[in-house]
Amino acid sequence: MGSKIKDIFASQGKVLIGYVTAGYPVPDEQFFVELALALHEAGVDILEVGVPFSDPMADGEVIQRAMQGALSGNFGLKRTLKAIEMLKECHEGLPVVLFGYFNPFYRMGLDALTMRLKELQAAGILVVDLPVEEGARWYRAIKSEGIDPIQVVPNDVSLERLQEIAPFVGGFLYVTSSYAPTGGTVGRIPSLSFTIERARATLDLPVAVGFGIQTPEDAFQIGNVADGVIVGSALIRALEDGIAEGGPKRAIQLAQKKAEALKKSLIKGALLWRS
Amino acid sequence: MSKAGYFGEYGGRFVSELLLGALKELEQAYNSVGKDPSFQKALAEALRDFAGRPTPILQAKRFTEAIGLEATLVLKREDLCHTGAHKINNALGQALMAKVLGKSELIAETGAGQHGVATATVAASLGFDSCKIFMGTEDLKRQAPNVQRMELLGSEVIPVAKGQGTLKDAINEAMRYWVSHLKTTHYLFGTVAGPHPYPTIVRDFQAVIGNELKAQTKERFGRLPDVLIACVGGGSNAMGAFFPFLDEAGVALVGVEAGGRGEGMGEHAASLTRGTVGVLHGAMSYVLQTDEGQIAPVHSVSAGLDYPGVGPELSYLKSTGRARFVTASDEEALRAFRLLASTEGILPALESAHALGWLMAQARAFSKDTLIAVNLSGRGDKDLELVGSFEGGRRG
Repeated sequence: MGSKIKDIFASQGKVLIGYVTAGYPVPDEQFFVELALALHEAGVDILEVGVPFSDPMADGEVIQRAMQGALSGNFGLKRTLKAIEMLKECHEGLPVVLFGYFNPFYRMGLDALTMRLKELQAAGILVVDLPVEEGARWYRAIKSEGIDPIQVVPNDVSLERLQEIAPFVGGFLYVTSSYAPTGGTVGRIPSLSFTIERARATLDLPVAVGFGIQTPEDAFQIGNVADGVIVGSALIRALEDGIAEGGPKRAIQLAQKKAEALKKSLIKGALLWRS
Repeated sequence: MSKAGYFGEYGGRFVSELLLGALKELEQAYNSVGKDPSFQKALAEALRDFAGRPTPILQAKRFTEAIGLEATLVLKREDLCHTGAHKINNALGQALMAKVLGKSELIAETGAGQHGVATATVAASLGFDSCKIFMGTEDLKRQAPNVQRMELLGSEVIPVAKGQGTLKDAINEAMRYWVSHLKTTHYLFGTVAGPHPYPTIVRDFQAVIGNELKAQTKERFGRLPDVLIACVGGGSNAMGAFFPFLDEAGVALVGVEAGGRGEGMGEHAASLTRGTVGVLHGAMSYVLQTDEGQIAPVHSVSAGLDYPGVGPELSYLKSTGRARFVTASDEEALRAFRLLASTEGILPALESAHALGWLMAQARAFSKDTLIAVNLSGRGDKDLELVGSFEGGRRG
């Protein structure tokens, strides 16, 4: 089965992947749809939707706060899936990658989750704390259903490790710019470009870089070397600021502005790279 | 073990790819020191000269009589360990390993403060450059003397206000710090939970408890105990006591969890008794969670048992029926705390008091010729203020 994500990378050149925590800053499905569409309009090519979890061990403060906020509004996995369903009903063109921690998925049941993801035509899923050793069978199963398992690797990933994960990765490879929880600062570009080249060659997949991409300058530099960037904490921060300044509408505006600026310099970086 | 890092279907390594390398490095280091006689010798010496092992067993005759128990009761005196609890056994083992790995910094989570104190102590004694202890803000409040102790030992205590501000949140934060400092830092995990290889490493370093107990009851009574009781939070003192007895079918193993103040969610911390299977902090095990897989809030009068998960090997022992898991309430633990103090002259840690509290409630169930051993995992000096606040009524 074809990969929606690979298609996007093939047609867009440089891809902006935007992360939002479902249920944040407003624990309401309709708000989520509006935010998603606004981000898409601003240049987000793939939407990564975070499932709120009580113990987000791999995330930095910003995303932790967002998850806690969503959970205090009683917004968990069920409502996240409902929100994605509503998004799909009014707009089919924006590929969605579900992002989350394993426990809520496990609790729901992996077969039930796979079925629901198919119904929602989800493009992929990223389970932070399910390495291929633990998730091999399920990763294979969803891949055969046309849902891409997204795998995250550190910027110094070894060739052996890339080969080990190869059968269980789809869509794109997610390389972290540094060793840190999300929302830190961006790592060094030279070591990144080596890893990206090696990953492209080993996996035959596009490579996107995340963790610490905050400024247009970051996006520009990453755009030079990678096929896409993942922006999470920076968007959540924009939402936080917007809520503080003037409420939900302002939050959407600021997130949109942030995405636009990042997309613009991502493409600029790409042009420079091509010339 | 069916698969590396698994106990039956429990355990594993459910962590982000960024931590896998460090866990594999740790596993290799552990496998090599396990076979290294010079490491084993260094550890044995440290346990003897620094931790004060072997710890004695004590026949608690007056307590036995006071609770109407006809059986014979012995206490394994881990409260007499240096720093006041069994936690030092594991801290010494892992810190010596961290030296072999060339790490210059130790970090640890702590709930009751006992593991934090043990880690701060070994960091000072073995000359680590830096030691950071992550502790929930709720626990900071109820264990103030231990905070002061850690700071005097030269460690930095990092308050964690996120989440509920208790042990699980301290673990989350320590993991976040660790992933950014893997090259210099060893995460000295305090219990038999967490991702592989921690459940195995911590159990093995704590197995000294059960090994000594075995030899001591044989020597004193000419036989093994019929019943072995330990409190269970994450499960390190229980696994350490139980492990050497797993193949001794005649020894009944009882783990006592925190029954707290009720059976509703958020009122107790009884993961094995009232939880369901899930993944927390990198291992598949029993977890207290909501229907949607969010980790549930927990409560216990004892900060060391206030944890919504439990070590995977204990989940396995529950599934095979090899061990039995029960609860003692806050009040039962407090009653046992007072009674042990007044009858035996020993202040038990509130954690250990849960094991005694369950025994008090069940005293009539044991016949005269039964030999019962309770692992008195720590001392209660740290709990004085808390116990005082319960005097003349329940704390809010």
